[in-house]
Amino acid sequence: MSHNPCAHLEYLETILNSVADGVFTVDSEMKVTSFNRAAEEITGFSAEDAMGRKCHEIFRTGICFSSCPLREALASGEAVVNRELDIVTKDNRKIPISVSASVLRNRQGKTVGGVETFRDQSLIYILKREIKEKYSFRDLVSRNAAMRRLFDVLPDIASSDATVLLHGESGTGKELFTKAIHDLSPRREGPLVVINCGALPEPLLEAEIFGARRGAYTGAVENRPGRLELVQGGTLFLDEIGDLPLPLQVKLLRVLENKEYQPLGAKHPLKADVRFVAASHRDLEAMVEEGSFRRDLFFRLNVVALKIPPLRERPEDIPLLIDIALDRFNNRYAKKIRGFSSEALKVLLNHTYTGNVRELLNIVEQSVILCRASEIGMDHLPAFFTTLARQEKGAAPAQVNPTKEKLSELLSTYKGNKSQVARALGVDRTTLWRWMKRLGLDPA
Amino acid sequence: MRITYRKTEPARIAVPYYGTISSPPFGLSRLYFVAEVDIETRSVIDITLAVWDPKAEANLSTWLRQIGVKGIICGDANSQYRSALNNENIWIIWRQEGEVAELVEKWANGEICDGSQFQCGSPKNKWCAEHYDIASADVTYHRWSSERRI
Repeated sequence: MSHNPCAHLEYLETILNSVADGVFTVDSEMKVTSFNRAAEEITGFSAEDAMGRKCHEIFRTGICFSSCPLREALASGEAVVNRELDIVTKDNRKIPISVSASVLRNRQGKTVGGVETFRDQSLIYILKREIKEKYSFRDLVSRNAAMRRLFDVLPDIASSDATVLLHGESGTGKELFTKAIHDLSPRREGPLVVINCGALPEPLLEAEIFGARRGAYTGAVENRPGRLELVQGGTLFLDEIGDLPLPLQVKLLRVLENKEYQPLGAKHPLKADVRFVAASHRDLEAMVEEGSFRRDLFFRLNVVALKIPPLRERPEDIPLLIDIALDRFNNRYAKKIRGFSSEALKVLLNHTYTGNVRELLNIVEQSVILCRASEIGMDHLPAFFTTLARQEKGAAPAQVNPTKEKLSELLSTYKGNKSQVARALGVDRTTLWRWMKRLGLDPA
Repeated sequence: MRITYRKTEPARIAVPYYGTISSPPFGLSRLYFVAEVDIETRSVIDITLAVWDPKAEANLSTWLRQIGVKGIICGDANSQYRSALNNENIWIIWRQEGEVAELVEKWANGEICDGSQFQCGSPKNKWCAEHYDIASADVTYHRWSSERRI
């Protein structure tokens, strides 16, 4: 090292120009006193343009006059770290950056200005956006193979007029699938009407679906069109069809078979130009067997059956859905949260999501609302996650190696489904594979 | 140097969730698919997701070794990181794109390779006939020369 102080300054300039982060300094009047090469590249302004000008003229953000990180650092004397915001470049492009700011003091400890470092986050945003676009289909998103297969067949199914039966747990996105089918179908210009068969008592549901004529019942003072009439030329989505009472199942069967229906109190049947999509989280086949769902209606509905896998069977979608939800709720609540901490992410990946995608969205929304930092941590997750994490830390792993007979019995019980056997034993598939291999059972 | 796979143990291969192990200047990917591959049948047994916590855990390459990862298949990785992985005896095949199951199956069947070679001269990720013996208890797989610049 040279003892010449000017040589240090030369080194400093070289060092600053070699780092990938943008760095600039300001004096006590917020005028730019240095501007490194990366800062030039990110903002589009040259050091010559920037030097001596007020920093807000060069480093243009929406928070320059409200919550400038440099001013905050200068006022408090504390560094501001990794604040996420957007800047407008010289050519008026908005780019996402992460900013840190600190105070500069002279040898006497007097504040003489500040330094701001920033990194361009555009690439990571582009990368995430590319992933989202790659795995998106209409409003649906997934990188799971079973879901991708559904996306592949959806346009062909939509272009036909066939009735579609969607099987899927609550919160898996059955309504979004219906919307995609409708939007891709020749009926896309017509309406998409949704009715939840479990939401209304039988008499009201009947009037709601089929409509009622004036005088059909006490209080029916005027003709009331049903959903079937309102949806002419479009798609009717019958959600929770398993909850449809048996008498209405007969009436619906007639619509499906003859394409006609009779509103309550009407003398003549009306024509129904409607495409049906039905959905249920219940096992309709089992309901047919126990007599609570009509077999003929089941076969009429079950022309094209699509099974939407629950979120716990496609954990690879969780990070993707988290990114999408984070974007959505950042926009809705005007936040700049860049993501979840690794600890929180681990917890979210291990959660079982009985409420599926809807539950995940609710968790992210709640976390975004509660989070004031740039990263969502365990403290921002619903309380039961923290309790669960504490319990898991305390719990000892319980793995008892099963005997060959026990394993064979389980494999036969679950018809060779190794995922189910692993779940029954409380181990992962790899451990099961290892046990099967050791016990001479064919794991392939 | 050699990396040895025991036939009774599955090989663990990592694939970054967003495809790349590093995305300068943002740091390193935290999220990885970890695929378990049956070396004998060359089939994928299971794929899980693993999160690296830079605050609580070791550096990325050490963490990958600690969770038993033998190799990484990714789209891109900077040279520093490639050598860090190399030092942990973790091989890396980069410039690869695709779904995790597809990539790992291709690897298991020796279909993907970045053109570099192992010390024995076999293309990287091709099963080396000289050292791969289906009848033996161990399957030997070569690590590329550490002197070789990729």
